[in-house]
Amino acid sequence: MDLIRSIRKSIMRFISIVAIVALGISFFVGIKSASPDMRNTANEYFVSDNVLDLSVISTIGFTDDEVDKIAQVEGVRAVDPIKLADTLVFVDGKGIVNVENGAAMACRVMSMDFSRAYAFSQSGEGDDSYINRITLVEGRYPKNKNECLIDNAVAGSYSELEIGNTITLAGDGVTLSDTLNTDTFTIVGTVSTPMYISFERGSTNIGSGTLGMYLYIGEDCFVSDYYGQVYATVDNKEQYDAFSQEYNDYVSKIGKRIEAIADESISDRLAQVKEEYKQKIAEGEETYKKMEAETNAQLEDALAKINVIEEYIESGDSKIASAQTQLSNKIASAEGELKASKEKYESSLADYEANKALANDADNEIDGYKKAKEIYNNYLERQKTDRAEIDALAAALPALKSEADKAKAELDSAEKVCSNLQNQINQKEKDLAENKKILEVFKEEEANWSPETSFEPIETIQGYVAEFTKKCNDLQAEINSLKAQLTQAETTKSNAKAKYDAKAAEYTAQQATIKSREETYQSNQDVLNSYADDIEKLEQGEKDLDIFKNALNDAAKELEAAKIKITESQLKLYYEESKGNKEITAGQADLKAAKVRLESAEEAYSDAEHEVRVGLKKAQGDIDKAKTALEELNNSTWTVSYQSDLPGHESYGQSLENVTAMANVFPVFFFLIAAMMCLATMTRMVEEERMQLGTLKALGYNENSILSKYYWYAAVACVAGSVVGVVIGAVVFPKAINSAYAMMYCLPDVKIYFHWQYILIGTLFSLVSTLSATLIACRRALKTQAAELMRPKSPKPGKRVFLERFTGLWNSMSFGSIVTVRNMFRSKRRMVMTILGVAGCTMLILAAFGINNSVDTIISAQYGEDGISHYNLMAVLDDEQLPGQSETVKDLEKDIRVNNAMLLDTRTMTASSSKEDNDTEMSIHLYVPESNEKLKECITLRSRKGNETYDLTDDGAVITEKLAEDTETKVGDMLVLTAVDGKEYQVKVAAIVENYVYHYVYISPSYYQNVFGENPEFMYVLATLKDYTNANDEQNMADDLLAYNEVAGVVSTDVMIDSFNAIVDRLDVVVVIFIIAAGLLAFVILYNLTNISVQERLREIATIKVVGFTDAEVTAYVYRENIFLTIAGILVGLLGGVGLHRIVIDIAEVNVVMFGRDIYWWSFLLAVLLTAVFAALVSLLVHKRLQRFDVIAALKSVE
Amino acid sequence: MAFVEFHNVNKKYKLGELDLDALSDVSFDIEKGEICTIVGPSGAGKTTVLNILGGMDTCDTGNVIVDDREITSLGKRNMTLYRRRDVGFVFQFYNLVQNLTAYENIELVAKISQNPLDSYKMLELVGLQDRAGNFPAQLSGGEQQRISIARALVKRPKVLLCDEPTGALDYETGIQILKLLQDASRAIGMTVIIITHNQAITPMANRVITMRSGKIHRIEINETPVPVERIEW
Repeated sequence: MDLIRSIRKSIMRFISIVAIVALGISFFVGIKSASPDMRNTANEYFVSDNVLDLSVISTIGFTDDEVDKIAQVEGVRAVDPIKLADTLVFVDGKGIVNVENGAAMACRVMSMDFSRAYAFSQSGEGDDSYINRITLVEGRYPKNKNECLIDNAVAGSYSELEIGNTITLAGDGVTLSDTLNTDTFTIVGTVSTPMYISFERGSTNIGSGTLGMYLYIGEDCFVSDYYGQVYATVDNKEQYDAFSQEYNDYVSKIGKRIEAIADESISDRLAQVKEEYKQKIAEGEETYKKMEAETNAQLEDALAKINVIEEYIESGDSKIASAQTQLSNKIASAEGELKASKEKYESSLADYEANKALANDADNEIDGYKKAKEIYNNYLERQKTDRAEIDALAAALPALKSEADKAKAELDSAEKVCSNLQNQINQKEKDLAENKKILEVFKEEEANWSPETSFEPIETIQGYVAEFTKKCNDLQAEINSLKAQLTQAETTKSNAKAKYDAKAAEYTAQQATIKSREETYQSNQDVLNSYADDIEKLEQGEKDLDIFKNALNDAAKELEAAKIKITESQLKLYYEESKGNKEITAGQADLKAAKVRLESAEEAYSDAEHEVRVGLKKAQGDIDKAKTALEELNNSTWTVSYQSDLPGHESYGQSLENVTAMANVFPVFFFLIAAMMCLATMTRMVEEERMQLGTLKALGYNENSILSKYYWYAAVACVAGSVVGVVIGAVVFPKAINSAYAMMYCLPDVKIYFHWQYILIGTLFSLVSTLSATLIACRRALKTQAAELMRPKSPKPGKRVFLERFTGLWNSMSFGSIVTVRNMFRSKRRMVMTILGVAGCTMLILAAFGINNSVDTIISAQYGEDGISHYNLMAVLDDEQLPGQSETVKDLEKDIRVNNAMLLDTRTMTASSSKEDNDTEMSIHLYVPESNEKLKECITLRSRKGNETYDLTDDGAVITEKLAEDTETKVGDMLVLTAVDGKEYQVKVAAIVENYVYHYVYISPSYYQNVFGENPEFMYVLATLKDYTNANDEQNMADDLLAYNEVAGVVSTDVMIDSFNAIVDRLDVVVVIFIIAAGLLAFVILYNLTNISVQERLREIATIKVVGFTDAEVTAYVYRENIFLTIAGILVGLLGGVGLHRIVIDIAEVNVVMFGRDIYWWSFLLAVLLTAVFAALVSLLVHKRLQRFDVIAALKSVE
Repeated sequence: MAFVEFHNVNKKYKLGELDLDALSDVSFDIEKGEICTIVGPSGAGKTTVLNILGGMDTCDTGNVIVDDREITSLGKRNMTLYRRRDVGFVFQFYNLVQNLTAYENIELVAKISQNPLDSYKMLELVGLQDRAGNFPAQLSGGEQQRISIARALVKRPKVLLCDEPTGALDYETGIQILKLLQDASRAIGMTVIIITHNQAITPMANRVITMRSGKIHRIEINETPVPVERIEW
């Protein structure tokens, strides 16, 4: 009663324990159960659908006897022999292309007793000998021979393979009619078989080496009497886990027994078969030879006919060629001549022009000369007049001389007169002068006469003076008259002189004039004389020029004639040429027609030849096969393979191990949290009730009876939580985890089992931890004395916190912060738990979104914008093409919808590490592009980190990331590639590139040549469409491509993307579950811890309420520390989330895809936000609670 | 008009089927600056009076007026503000926040008050300035109660409500605390209401209200209050 009251009183506490235990248990039981549930589901499926435990294959098949022998081997429960064949699949004449590797679809055709299958589907019960029981998914069972059931997995992905369609089977290089008696089937239903639990179908020796689908047909469709394979089940198979080592050991023991009886069982028939084979081979070879000879003869005939045409064409060709040569020679020579004459004409023309120019110059010159001559003649005329004038002057000269002489004579006589007169004068003057002097002396004697002195008397003297005076006077008079005479004479003389002077001057002037004129005349004469030569020369030149001009005129005439001649010859040339050409064209047309005939003949021939050769090749193939088979017969035996060899079986086992590994890591965290929460809650409960405890103790109750209440409380909460947790966990988690794996496996929906061991372990563990938590709490309480117990437990005293040591910092903090810090550090355990709880919440959410991102990345990074693969279509050609010669590629490159197209050689190979200790084997696609450049347009080679892009080079292969990771191959290492035929090749790794879907090895054509020693066979075309195209265009394009003869099939990447997307969507469930779990975790922990914290501090909170803190302030006071702790928890959780994401990716990643390694930024944001929302919800609840609680009661309660 | 007035206050508590009259028709006045003791045996209704006066509880009928303000009709929020601004509380068990130092405890209230006194001054007033950095657990009961009084006074309340302030203390310390209250009342004219069942301390009060079974038994006015030092019990 007390217990129920306690529970009711503290219902929130009770629920929180239930919730946390439920959470822990559900995680523990859920995740732990996932792997066994999946395992059991698979095992149950294996048992109910009676999957083979082992199967036996014999190269020579099995007879009924041999099958019986197998059935009788100890440990074999039942056997089921079947017939089978591996074929290629055609619909409407087009080969189906395997979407996964782009190669021709290889299909395993198996015989099935449909009536037995139908019976099983009706009753659900089958004979032990009905092994690998099929489940009809859709449609119906076949009713007649030409109907078949098809692989359910491909039926959904290939529209060609829908129910109702008709398919045709064909051998790969061999005739199928040896194996099947009919090759056309209508699909009537889709099935699944327990043999194939994944989407892998195993390997084959046809096509690319990978089986893409299977088909069931009636046994009567097979030609052979022998069975190809015997399925067997073993005794007690139900007791074993099909994925366990014990099972493998057990089955292989039985397998060995079968192998042991192989030789003796088949030895008899072996010889017989050998003989049969030999005979068959011989027959075959003979037929082959005959056929070969026949066809060769036929072909030769055809060839001969072709040769005739060819010869005709050749001769026609040569005739035309010679005609062409002749014509061209003729033309050439004519042209040469024409050219020469043209050249000559040109040069003469040039000469003529030059001469003409010269003549012009000369003309000009001669014009000048004429003028000069005129002047010369004028001068000559003037000279003549000059001469005459001078001569006249000279003639006049003697007259002038005589005149002058006469004047001279007159002058001379005048002068004699004058000089006579002068002489008389001079005589008279002399007499005068003497008489004057005697006079003077007498005058002086007179003047000085004195009688004393004078000798003569005065009178004498006087008389003397008078005499002499008279004498002087006479003389004077005489002189004067003489002088007058002289003057007269003088005048006469000067007149004469003047006359003479004039005459003389005239003469002299005349003389000078003559002289100067003579001189001028002479110099002019000299000049004229000097010109005279030139004039003469010029006269000659003029004459020459006339001759020259005449010649020039002649030349002009000649030139004109030459010009006409050239035109004529040109016309002639044209005529000849066109005539010749016409003839040749006619010949060519003829030849062309012949060539067309030849082409069609050749085509017909090559078609015929191809047909014949294919026939022969097939025949040869059959013979070779038979020969190989014969050879193999020598070491022929039974080969036993086991269930674990079935495709996907082993990897499913590995997946189960992965889940188990995850189960060992994951729940521990939740359990720890749950245990800590229980401890905290129970401790608090005991503390709250210590008064009661003390009272009871004081009253004398023994400890156990006091404690039993708490034990029961804890136990009831625990068990309740366990029940809730188990119910939820065991259902939800296996389903969620299975849905993630359903991506790669096709198994029935997971069945939920209750694994008691986990439920018990979980429940016990939580019981023990809760109870021990209770015990610890109670012990602590009971150790104290009853009296003390009854007093309120003194609240935990305040303590200095670490931060206080930094006085500066502490003092600068606001009062609110100080209070928060003090509260935060009050209980370190609670602090750690809060951080851990919140961190766990953030971590889970981040990891969940991260996983979603990683899976999204597969598609978006591989095929999306800026993705790796850009090509939209892959076409398979029916024959090898050489680069630059494929019509399809050429037409594609012209198509406006197409960005680019290129040829590709691709095949499936097995890659393995060159490292000794790494035995990973991975199926890869080898891509050899037509050219390294063109590959870039279709596929981006880049590193994931740093986004560095690489070019394909000729010195190494580029391999994809996960391939490198799993084979531990680094750049520079060698990678071993194994072909379908078992040949090994080593390639050097030049770069490692980002890739998400499948594994690729890219090799350049020349490096391929290096490594494989042969040229790549380009049998595929990759086409990238323009960005704006949509899925519809892609489909149209694919249809257009299929119309080409050389195109055998087309794959669109859209199909791949769609099928992947469908798978990815299922993972969303996992994300939701993670988020719900995370939210619960955060909620339970935060609520519980806050609750405890509030309980402990009720008085304190009541006090601050009483002193006037508003509701908001009270909540802030209590909750602020939680905000800090939540933030811290979120930060820790983000770190943890990244790690957890990494772990989950590592565990969950399946072989053929690489998950994205990065978490998108919005996932971080969402993780933070969601955690914050959960925390906010809790704070809201706490706030409401704090608003409601009774202050007075809290204060009154005497603690 | 008196500073604190109770007019015909009734209060019923429901205890299951039973109605308990906590207060019936309680009326009294207290003048400003008085020290008033409310005495009576357990269950007489003293604490209910205090709760109503302190804004922690409401009455069913009647009016309560403090400093001309009707507090019975206040809403939840205003009630909180009334407690924050006008009332100082001193509890029997001090109710200090254990996690905060003495100084911080006073500061806690000062921070939310409109016009608080200086917290250090208050420590000095109660003579504990040396213990500012000590946590409550490091202080004696009397010291804790003194911090509690300092915390109540720091906000300059209109009335100081003391619920058995000496109830958990020995005689000596009790006297000290009462002295502190009397000094505060006299020094700043503070209205102090002390609830106690200890008749011995009534002589220090100006007004003694005796309650019995939820009713006012007697109201005595003491014209000459005795100094605390002379009280003995």
